[in-house]
Amino acid sequence: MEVFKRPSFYIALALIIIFGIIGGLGQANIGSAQLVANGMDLMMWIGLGLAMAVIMSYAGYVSFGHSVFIGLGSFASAYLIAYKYSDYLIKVKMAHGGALPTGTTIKFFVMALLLASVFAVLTAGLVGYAVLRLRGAFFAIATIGLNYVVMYLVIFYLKNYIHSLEGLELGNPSMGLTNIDFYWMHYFVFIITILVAYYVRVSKLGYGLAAIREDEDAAEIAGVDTFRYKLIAFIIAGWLASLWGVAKEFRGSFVATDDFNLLYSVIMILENAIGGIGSFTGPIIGSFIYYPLKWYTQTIAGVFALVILGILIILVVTFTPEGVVGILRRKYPRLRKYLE
Amino acid sequence: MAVNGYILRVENVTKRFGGLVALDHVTFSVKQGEILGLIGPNGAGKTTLFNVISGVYKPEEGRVIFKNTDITGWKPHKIAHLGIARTHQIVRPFGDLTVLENAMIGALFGKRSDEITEEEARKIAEEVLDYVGLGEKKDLPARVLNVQEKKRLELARALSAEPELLLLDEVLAGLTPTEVENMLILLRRIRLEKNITIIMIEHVMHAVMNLADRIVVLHFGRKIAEGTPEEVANNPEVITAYLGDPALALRFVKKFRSGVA
Amino acid sequence: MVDAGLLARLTAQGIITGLLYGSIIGTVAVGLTLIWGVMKVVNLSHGHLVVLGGMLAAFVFVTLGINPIIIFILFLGLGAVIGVIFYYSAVHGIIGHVDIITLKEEMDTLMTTFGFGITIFGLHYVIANYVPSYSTQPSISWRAMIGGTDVISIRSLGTAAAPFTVSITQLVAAILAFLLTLATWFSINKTTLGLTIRAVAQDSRALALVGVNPVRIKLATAVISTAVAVGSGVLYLIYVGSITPTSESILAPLSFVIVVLGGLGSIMGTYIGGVILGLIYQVIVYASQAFFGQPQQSLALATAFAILLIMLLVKPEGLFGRKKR
Repeated sequence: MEVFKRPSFYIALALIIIFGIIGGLGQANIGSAQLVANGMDLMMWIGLGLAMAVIMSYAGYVSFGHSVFIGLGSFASAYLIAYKYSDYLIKVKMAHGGALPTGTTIKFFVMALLLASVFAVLTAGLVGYAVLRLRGAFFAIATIGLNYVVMYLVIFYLKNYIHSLEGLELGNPSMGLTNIDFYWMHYFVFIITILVAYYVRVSKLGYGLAAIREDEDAAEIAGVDTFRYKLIAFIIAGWLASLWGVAKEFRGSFVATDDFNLLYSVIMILENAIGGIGSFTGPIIGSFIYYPLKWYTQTIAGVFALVILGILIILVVTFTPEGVVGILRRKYPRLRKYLE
Repeated sequence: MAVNGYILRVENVTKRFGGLVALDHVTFSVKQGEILGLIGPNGAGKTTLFNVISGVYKPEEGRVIFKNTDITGWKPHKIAHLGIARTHQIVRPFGDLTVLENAMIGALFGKRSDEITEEEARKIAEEVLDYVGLGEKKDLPARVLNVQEKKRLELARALSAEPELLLLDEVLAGLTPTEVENMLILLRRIRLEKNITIIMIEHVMHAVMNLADRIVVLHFGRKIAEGTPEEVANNPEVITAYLGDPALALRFVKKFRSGVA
Repeated sequence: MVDAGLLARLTAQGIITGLLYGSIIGTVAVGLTLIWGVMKVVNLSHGHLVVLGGMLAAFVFVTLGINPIIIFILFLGLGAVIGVIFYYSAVHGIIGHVDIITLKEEMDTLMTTFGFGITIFGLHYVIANYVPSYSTQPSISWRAMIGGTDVISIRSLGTAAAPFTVSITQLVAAILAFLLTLATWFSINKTTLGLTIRAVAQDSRALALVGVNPVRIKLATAVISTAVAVGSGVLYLIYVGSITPTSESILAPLSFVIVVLGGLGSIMGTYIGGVILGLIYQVIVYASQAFFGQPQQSLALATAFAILLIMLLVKPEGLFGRKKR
């Protein structure tokens, strides 16, 4: 595919290589355990930023309720490993000396990804079909509504049919998996996310979405099938986010109010706002800025974390509307072909 | 393939917005390869007519037929794929994209949208940009262009779609006399070299009278005249309704008066 | 098999509670409909402002023992002050000098108001960290102030064993809410300031030409909207009896549902939308007991947001709003 021969693909490739190296180091037990843990986190935040970019940054539709897809992915995963096959997994683990065999882990991971994909694509497709007719704030609010409808339906289902505590949680059975196992799961989803998001950006779909973002009506008149393109973008964006829900759930557990939390969407949006709208590299840079800031505010600022985050959001949006990549592309036009 | 040499037929098109009749049973045909001027006072319904032809509005009555295909009520992007491109009264460039990318959008989603590759689109866009004189600015973001350049960019975007029918909505508005002249030269070249049929909405009277083969005049949504520039300019109803160019009107008022006893 | 009699009684109780609850949340939503409908700012900090009112009121009540109704009235003033801070932090930078609000400004104010909301949310925990008497899960009991029980049983309805109950506290709160809404409606529709506010919403440039300072008017809109939000937060506290910072996660989304349901920009429409939603919500909560043995808030909430989605798709201007051409 010629698309991958563009100069800007180097950035995508670099990311895949860097995180592969970190994984390799972790596998060989070189370096601290923190490296693996932080690496996973960072991959997830980059991945989520890219997922949001497909609908927001490329197409201009701010999916404020995008956390619904993370929640769906997480729920799909939890449904399988914490409910339906929970006993089976425990049995296999016991028979295998305390840790799940790799084959089983992979099998269930893939199953969870598939189920999550089904949930996400169906939801994004059906709801998107209706909701993408709305513009601007109404679209954003509709996605918030979607997030809560799904969350409360899941809670209802958990409470009355799965009988989990309070209807909020599903804890994973202990599977004897280590951090490095989770790292590779994250890495798998990371590669998919990078390749898909990059491809969307540089393909004809990406051009169409950019036109939609700039002036949707003019784009339609110029021949862009705006509705179809928006729908495809929304489905892809939702699908990618749901995959991260699975990766995240394997590592922890499913908690409805956490996994459907709008804060996820906001951070995904923030990464795009900081990094710059309209480019593949935007949310990547945004994540690299956001992640250390978040770490700093959480560990050092402690109780001030949210206050600082809130003020940061206000400042970023008020004073740097173009984002870092936007500023770079404007000031250094020769960098444009790398910063797609 | 045009029927009887007509590439577009507008039949009885009526468009209402609530109680307002914006277009009232408008009927006319456009010959392939001609330049048709669409004039009329402000609010006459000219842009509305363009919106109906390009699919933005669906008319309450009437049909729009493009080369034998009834395109009434089709979605705009489908109409663009058939080979109709248009520019807008107030320029709508894709500001954050480069000039080249703007033109490429035209090529990627125009007549050959089903099979065109990015490389081909890029080549077409570059050629068209050179043609309209924007070649040197192709890597600049579109929003830094001035008005004249933005109009040329809109034109480039439309031309990149390789249309058979080009709808120009006041492409000369806001240009200085020199810029108008330059644009006219360009439009003549386009008609000659690319064999594109053009419908142009214009208020710059001398330009459209000079350039157009035939003229259709709208007033309050109705067609009140159709014919060559001379025929139309002599039409008393047109003169009464539309003193767009005082010099022109005066010339014909004098002519008219001298013919009356 | 569902016991029809039980279902009927539960539904009736749901209706009674729903009317009161609806009055409260309807008034909570009025603050949002003002700033969103009139100033076109989608205020994602709205819920946090409401909760701020409740949290501070609880603190004042617990430490100073002032009558909550007096706190309510005082806090309308406090809310106005907070509104000034809110406007200059999160709103002015984006739309202060903008005449026509485009998609970009809409999205930007979405983000800045969200940031402002998170800041307020975090502030509760910061204060609690440094001021030991500031509780993040306060509850107040008003019984002592009105002397004795605050629950009326309406024995003529229901059975002797299970009469319908109405809490006086809640009744008072609901009535105050209605009065607050009425006062807001009056100030927006019947005063000169209100007229100017509505006019600025139409075209601030034209007004600037006749000497009206658009910034002042936008500020005024934000101030009134925040004052109502903060005041309604106090009423919410009185009604429910407790509040926490995470109450925002219910109040904010519900406000959006109510505004979309009732009509963006219409004060009375929003209030009525709130009452309708309150009815639907409480009826589901109560009636679901007959089917599931336990009240199902999650079902009620899922329904509320489904209503939001449906309204956005079918009638986005709301039941009482005017359709924009």
